[in-house]
Amino acid sequence: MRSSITLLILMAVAPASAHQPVMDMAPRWADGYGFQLRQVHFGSDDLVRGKDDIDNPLGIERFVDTTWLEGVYTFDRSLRATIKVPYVNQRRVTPINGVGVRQRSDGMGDVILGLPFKRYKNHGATTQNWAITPSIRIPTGSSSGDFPLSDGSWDVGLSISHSRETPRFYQLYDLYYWHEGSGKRGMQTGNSWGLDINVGLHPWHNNDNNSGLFTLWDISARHEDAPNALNLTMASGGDRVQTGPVLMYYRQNFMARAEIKLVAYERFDGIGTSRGNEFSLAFGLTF
Amino acid sequence: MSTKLIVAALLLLSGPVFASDYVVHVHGLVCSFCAQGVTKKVSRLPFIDQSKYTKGVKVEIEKQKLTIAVIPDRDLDIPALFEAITSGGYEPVDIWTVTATGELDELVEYKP
Repeated sequence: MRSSITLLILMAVAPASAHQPVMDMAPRWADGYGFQLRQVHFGSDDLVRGKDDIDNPLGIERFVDTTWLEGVYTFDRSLRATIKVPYVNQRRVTPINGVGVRQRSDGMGDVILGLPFKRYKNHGATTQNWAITPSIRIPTGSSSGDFPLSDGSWDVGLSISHSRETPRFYQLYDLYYWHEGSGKRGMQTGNSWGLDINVGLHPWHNNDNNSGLFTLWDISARHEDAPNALNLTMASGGDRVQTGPVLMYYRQNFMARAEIKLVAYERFDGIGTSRGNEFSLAFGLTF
Repeated sequence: MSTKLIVAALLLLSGPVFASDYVVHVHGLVCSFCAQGVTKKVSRLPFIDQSKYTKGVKVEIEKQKLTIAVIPDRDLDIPALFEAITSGGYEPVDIWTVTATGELDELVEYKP
């Protein structure tokens, strides 16, 4: 029992979506580019076996703060290139020999490159697009130490998405899959797939200065195969559904975005710490 | 003095305040945040009067309507304008002249 806790608590849940939301709405113009700074916080001290909360006498916990620097370049509206560079600051209390031991690590995580191919259809008051996005995750993060930032593997992802927008409503469906390569030190993270759904309302827009508000509701469902016994990263096996509101303000080429994601369903392949509520704040510019 | 004022007033009333404005209907121009791409591409055209609207361009996403201001005495280059809109991510449909009160006047003959 203790060994299974030791093993599974070491596995947290990695945000590994193949979806590249770096200013997905913009830039859609040829030779456009943009940057986004996004801060994400999640974590908890809730211990879960399968789907049930259990006692946590050792004070097992895990909290992760990630700052993403994201960039996008649009060759023309049918082809973009994206890059996401994370800086991770993570801490946890993990059971070792029956005692909760505090561990911490920080540094650059794994860089993700994406190549979204988009096909737009414009019909009067509607614009929609289909997108296929191959991605690659480069093991730029450190895989050393007791609590490594990366398993050291090269991973490939593919996402297929569809979005549709009118002046008032917005919707996005994104299905993605990540195939995990073999990592260093024998670590092997499980493959994952998931579905993101965004449904949005556009309550206010000012044509004179191109400013306004977007409100979205996000639903994210994700499955991850169990990692192997040697994995020391945040990886975990199981299923999870998160949901919550997104508020976006834009003015000219500036965008600010705030998001809260609450755990609606969570199941672990054994015992794990809940991902907990997730908060993110982003600022972006397009040119 | 009074003669100068009258002449100035007549010039303002009869002058090309709106005569150099055009409206383009653009399919799919509903995405507010990405509408800036159209403004960026169109405002760079040499015949656009950047002193009006936002760099010579006004976007109304509810009507999929793009209003442009053209520099008086400069020729409107419709192929270049439509190419700029397409490059901005959208599909131009037709182009109209605008009356002094800002209403659509005449459809400009143009076949892309």
